[in-house]
Amino acid sequence: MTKRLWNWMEGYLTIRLRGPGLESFLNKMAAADLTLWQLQRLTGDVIILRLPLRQFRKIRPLVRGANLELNVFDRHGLPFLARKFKSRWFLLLGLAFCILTTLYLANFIWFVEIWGASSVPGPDLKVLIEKSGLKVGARKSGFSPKQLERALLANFESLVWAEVSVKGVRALVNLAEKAEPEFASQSPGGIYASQPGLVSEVLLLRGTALVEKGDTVRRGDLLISGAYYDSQGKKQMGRADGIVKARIWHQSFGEAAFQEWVAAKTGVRRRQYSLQLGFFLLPLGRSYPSRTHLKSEREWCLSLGRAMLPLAWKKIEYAEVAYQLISISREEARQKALEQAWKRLEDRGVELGEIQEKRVEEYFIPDSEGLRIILSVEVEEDIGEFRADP
Amino acid sequence: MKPFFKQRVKKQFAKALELPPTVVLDCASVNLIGREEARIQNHKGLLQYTDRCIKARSFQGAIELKGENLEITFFSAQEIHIFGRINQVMLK
Repeated sequence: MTKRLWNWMEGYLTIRLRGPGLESFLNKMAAADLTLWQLQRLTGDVIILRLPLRQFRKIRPLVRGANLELNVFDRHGLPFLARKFKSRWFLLLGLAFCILTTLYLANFIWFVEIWGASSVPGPDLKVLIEKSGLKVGARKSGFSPKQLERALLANFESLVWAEVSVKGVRALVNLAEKAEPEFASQSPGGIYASQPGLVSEVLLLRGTALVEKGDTVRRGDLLISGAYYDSQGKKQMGRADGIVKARIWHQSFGEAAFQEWVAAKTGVRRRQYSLQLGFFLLPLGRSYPSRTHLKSEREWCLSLGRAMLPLAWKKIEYAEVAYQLISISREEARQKALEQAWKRLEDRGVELGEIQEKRVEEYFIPDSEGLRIILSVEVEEDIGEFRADP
Repeated sequence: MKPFFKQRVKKQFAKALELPPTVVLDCASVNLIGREEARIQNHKGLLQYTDRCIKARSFQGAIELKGENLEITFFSAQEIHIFGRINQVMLK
């Protein structure tokens, strides 16, 4: 890498040699203390090689005697670039201006990001941060991160930690809030059944159990009461605690038809582009209805670090589709309906891993030529739900 | 002094003083770095260069490298760097 950089700084040439006896000419070049690199043998009598610019003069006497043709193919490196820029002063000036402006603008804060403050009121936080000198467009040297950290901790009691750091043109304010420990409510109350079922297990932690294994309970039945007797035999009302597990039946269904309309791609593809500038959307090309076309989108947003700029380019691909009626076998329809029924159960929050027993009933739907599956599963669940006494 | 006698004296001298033979005897050395790269030092000139065969002269004989897509990445009076798929290295 260093060698390459040095070669570029010094400047080098790509030359083409054509003629017989190239190997012996290369040996002559090496004997004249020339350093060559990237020698490419194109054909039997043509070779392309690179050599430093300062060594080019040494080739002349060597070529003079040999029966060879020499062409300079390309020029690379700083000396050639400098020569090019010599006649383009304004480009150089513009480049220098651009670099200086970028360097100058890098002294300011362009983005302020605050993380980790959910309970601290936003406007108050903003006012305090701006008061300390940290705002968009402010000089980096115009505020002290340590002082701002101290001010944040002193002004907001809910904060336990604050860190202000500057990364490039971005200021990051990281905050951590006090976590309030959760104390269990001590209000008296009992454990009630959240749904009907057959009690399979009772684990009493506090209070008096009113049900036992094998009992059938309905929704809202008191399972564990908060009442207990103290050491003097006096009845007291406290907070019941425990686990009551019961076997519960859940039922769901799924349906599937024996014929289905399926969208098949015709192979015709259309494309639309759109340019978003803030809230303004400029579509380029026409759009197509979703009834006849499948749509896929890809979006490129212009971003600067973490900050998103209000400029986005979107490519929308439309694939034309034609709908075809296809037949589905009874087994496939059954599978589909069953999957639907399982999905419904899962969506209702039934723990599928806790299933003790299952039952599947199948019905034929004559009108719409389809199949209905009734899925019943028995699961063991904790049905206890604490309710405070009124 | 005959050349082989001169060489013998040099050899004995290098052995006695434990000097590297590449320096004293002008021996060529071929370094292979995997199958993709080879470096020939102390060569005495290039004899043949194609993308399948590169031959260099040395004091001990011709060094021949055979392979595919061979390319000389560096060439000077002392060293040749070769890049490509090297299948064979021979001293003839």
